[in-house]
Amino acid sequence: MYDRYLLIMYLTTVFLITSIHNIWFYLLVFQLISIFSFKEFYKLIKKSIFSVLLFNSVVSISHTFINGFDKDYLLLLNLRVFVLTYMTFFIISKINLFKALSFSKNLTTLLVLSYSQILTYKKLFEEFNMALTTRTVKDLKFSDYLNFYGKVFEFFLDKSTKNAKDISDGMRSRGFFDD
Amino acid sequence: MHIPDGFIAPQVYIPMYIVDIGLIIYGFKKLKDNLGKESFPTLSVLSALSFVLMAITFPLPGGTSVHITGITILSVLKGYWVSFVSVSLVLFIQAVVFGEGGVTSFPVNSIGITFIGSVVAYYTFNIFKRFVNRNIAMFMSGWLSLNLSALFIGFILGLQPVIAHDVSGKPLFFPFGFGIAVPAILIPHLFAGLIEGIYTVFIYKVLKSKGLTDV
Repeated sequence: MYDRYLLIMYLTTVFLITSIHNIWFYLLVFQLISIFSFKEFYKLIKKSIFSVLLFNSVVSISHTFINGFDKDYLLLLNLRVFVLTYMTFFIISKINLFKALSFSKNLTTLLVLSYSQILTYKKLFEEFNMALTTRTVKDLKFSDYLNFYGKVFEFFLDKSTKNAKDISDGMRSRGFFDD
Repeated sequence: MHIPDGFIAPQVYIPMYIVDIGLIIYGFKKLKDNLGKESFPTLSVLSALSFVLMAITFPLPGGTSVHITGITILSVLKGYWVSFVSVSLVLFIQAVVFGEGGVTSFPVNSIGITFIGSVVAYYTFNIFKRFVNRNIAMFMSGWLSLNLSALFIGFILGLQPVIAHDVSGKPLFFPFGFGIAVPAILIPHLFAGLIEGIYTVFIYKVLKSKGLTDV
């Protein structure tokens, strides 16, 4: 239940932050979350800034270039985006999403299965990329990338077909398909 | 094309959540009717596959790069409901587990990139293949699906200052109207769509040569 309450609280705060357009309110929310996250404060700050920097910079610079410097708007927008991102990073590290969404057996099963597959594929994909990088001495042409990612897709498609069968067999043997 | 949190007004993301959840439930029910309980393993591995496809990045001159969506391949090979539900799952996991994308922008990304992309890809291929070579149909499918998704995202962003502004007319969320938002999103995607189209054709040719698809 703790995870579910935390998720509801998080979603309510997201709604409030996007409904109340006041920088003092954002600062208050940020201060409160900072107190709870003081142990990871610098790590979260760094991660949040890095995550929003590109999109926010493009929007802020373009807005200033087109409409002139508008301190109030830029502060409101950037602070809102930053607080939302900081809060999201903090909450996802504290919440067990699978427990929070356990009200639906189908949803939890699908999420657990997909998440575990994604983690496996992600690791394998990173290894493929590392293998390419470490075996490359000169710049690759577009056609080389095309061939490489073509093989990568083939590998993962084949793996998906086999994994789907394995998971299905595993679920059946554990009685998941028995109604 | 992913929009971070804080740029979309609740007047937009709340109704879009309702529509998106409705579409996902409907899509999932359709898959369950077709595949039965096998839909769980199938969707989970296809989600992982689309995660990998979205991570594929082609370097461009000048140090930039373009990543593909892979939606066309999934949609044409497996059908648009499979593609929509599995890629939406990936976007959801990226937003709430990895903290990439955003919770408030999730329905916009899901409907724009995934639903529109999948439906456009599927029908473009199936209509064009009657008139032109299948490779050309596949290329058109990849290019058009990406660009219509981008057009939708640009439209949603451009809508923000129109519906969410203060009493003096100052925007509260994304600041640019249609005149700037739509071309700013669409123009880079006209080129990114070429890469998506080329990669889609390449994959299609490989699968065809190995007899792995009868599409």
